[in-house]
Amino acid sequence: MLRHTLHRLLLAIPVLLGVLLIGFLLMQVVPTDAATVRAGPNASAEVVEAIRRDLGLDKPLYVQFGRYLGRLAQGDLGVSIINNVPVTQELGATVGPTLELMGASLIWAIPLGILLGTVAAYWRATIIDRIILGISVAGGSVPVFFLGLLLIWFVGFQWQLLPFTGRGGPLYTWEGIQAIILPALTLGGVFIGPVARMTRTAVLDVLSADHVRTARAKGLTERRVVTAHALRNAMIPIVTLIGLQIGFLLGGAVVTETVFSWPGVGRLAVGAILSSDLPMAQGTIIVLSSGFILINLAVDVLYAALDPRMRAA
Amino acid sequence: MTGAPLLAVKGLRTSFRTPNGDFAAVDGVDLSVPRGRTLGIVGESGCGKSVLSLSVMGLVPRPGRVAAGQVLLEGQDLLTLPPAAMRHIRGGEVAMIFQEPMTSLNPVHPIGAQITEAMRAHDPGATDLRARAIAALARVRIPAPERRFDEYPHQLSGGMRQRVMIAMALACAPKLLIADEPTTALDVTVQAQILDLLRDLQAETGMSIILITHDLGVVAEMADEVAVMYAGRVVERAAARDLFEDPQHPYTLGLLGSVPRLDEDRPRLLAIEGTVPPPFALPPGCRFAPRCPFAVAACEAAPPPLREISPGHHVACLRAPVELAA
Repeated sequence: MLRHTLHRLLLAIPVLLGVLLIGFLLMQVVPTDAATVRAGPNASAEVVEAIRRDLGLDKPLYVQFGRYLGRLAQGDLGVSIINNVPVTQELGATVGPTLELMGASLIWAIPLGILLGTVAAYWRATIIDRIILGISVAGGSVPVFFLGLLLIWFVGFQWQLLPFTGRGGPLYTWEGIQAIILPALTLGGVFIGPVARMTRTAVLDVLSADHVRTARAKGLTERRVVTAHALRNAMIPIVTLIGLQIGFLLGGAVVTETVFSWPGVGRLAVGAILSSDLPMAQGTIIVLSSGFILINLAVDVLYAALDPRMRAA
Repeated sequence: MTGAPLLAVKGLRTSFRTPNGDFAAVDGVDLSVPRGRTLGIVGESGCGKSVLSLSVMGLVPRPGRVAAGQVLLEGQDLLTLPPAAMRHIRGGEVAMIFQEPMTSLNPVHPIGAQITEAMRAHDPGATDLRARAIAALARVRIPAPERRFDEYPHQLSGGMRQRVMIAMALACAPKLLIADEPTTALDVTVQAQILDLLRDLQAETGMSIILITHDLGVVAEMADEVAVMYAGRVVERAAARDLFEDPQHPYTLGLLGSVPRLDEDRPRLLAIEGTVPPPFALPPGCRFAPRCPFAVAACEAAPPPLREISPGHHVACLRAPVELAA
């Protein structure tokens, strides 16, 4: 188990390096020149050149990448071109709200999705199954921004039930809870469909397994057959599939944060890209992709915990 | 064989709904199992013997269902029991072991937990489950049962897993054990050990056994009585000795003729010509008639009834008793 975890951790390092390289190269191909942006529209050519030398942008790419990695290793992600604030400081302020939003979305969407999927699998090919399939296809087909706008328009604006802009405060306050409901409904809402469909497939698969027949032959109640045997075993593929879908959720977080003005990493990323704030954009890419890598790592470890056959490996 | 049998199956018909119409995998089967004895059910794959056993357990998978008949356990019809009462029978009065010990145990739970789970299902207030499960493992001759208790199925060999299945099945002292091809997936030496174990446990507990197999050698070794099934029906039923010494149904003759033997000088094994008819195109008369070397016109007209041709020996064949010239 420990070896498995360490092994996965080591494998994550080259992935992270690859992400850093691609993020770095992406910033090179955008048609924006960092020195020009920083110098401002009225700066003379000499000033721009001076800034370019100052930032090291006149050096070859591999030197720039090497220096970039060196600074990164010291926790230095550069300074925002727009407002001269260290990138790490801005990121530090936005990571918390993004984690809050993702947590608040997953905490209801995953259990509900698994419940719906299990019920659909157990009552397969009945009207219950069809209804759940309809819900999950509809949920999975609605774009995140559209669901967000619907909630804002009706719940927030027409009926005045809940706030819909920004974060209301820490989650232990009433304002904080109120403000996170609509964004969490939006982001979680689009996640239910995929979770329900994956669960249905996995549970169906296990329900026809020999050991489920054994469980029934032992005289167990149907509830126990489904929870302790079918669902328990189906959790192995379900966890893997949910992990793979988390990237989709990160993309959804960017949109949700923008729609609801949620002060998270996603909104910071969109803002940085729109204003050509290259160091900031690069920082958000690093944070979002590290999050993705970490989630996958957690899934790998959880996978081993769920499947005893993996523990020896 | 006096007194009421432990289990009596009467006119059992289990059918499956398919796009081609309903077809009966088990079609009008009568059987009985005396206390403490072993009934062997023989037939090739697809003859309905596994569906028969699942019907007794009330575990016929959808879209199958028991369409007619009775399954009487000590006189009580299991088919009319409400689900909760049937659950009490399953694993309690009637237990079952399956062909594939590799896949019949849940891979994510330790074997000990799978045994105690069965005990708890039938006796919610039970204490000392761990000790009882270890004793159950010891009874099926699993070495170091205390250590095995916490192991997972993938850490055990096929023979050990089948022993665990048997321990689990016997955990609640059933009166009837249904063993569906219990040794088919095992090595020959392990096969013999498992059969020995079953025989010893039967002597110890007095339970009855229904042994389902396609292996005539296993039946000869284990069964007191044998029923031969073909295309969903019992075609011959007799005490094991009678069946092997004086087979009467042409299908049984064919089966016995296809077993290799060392004590006879036979130039080649006999094969039964033709194939089992598909379930949606069964002949109206005797289902074996199209493949039967002895068939006459009357065989194709109506299904032959199961007749008693000598005490305890039943055959569903118009031509029986045949005197074979072969």
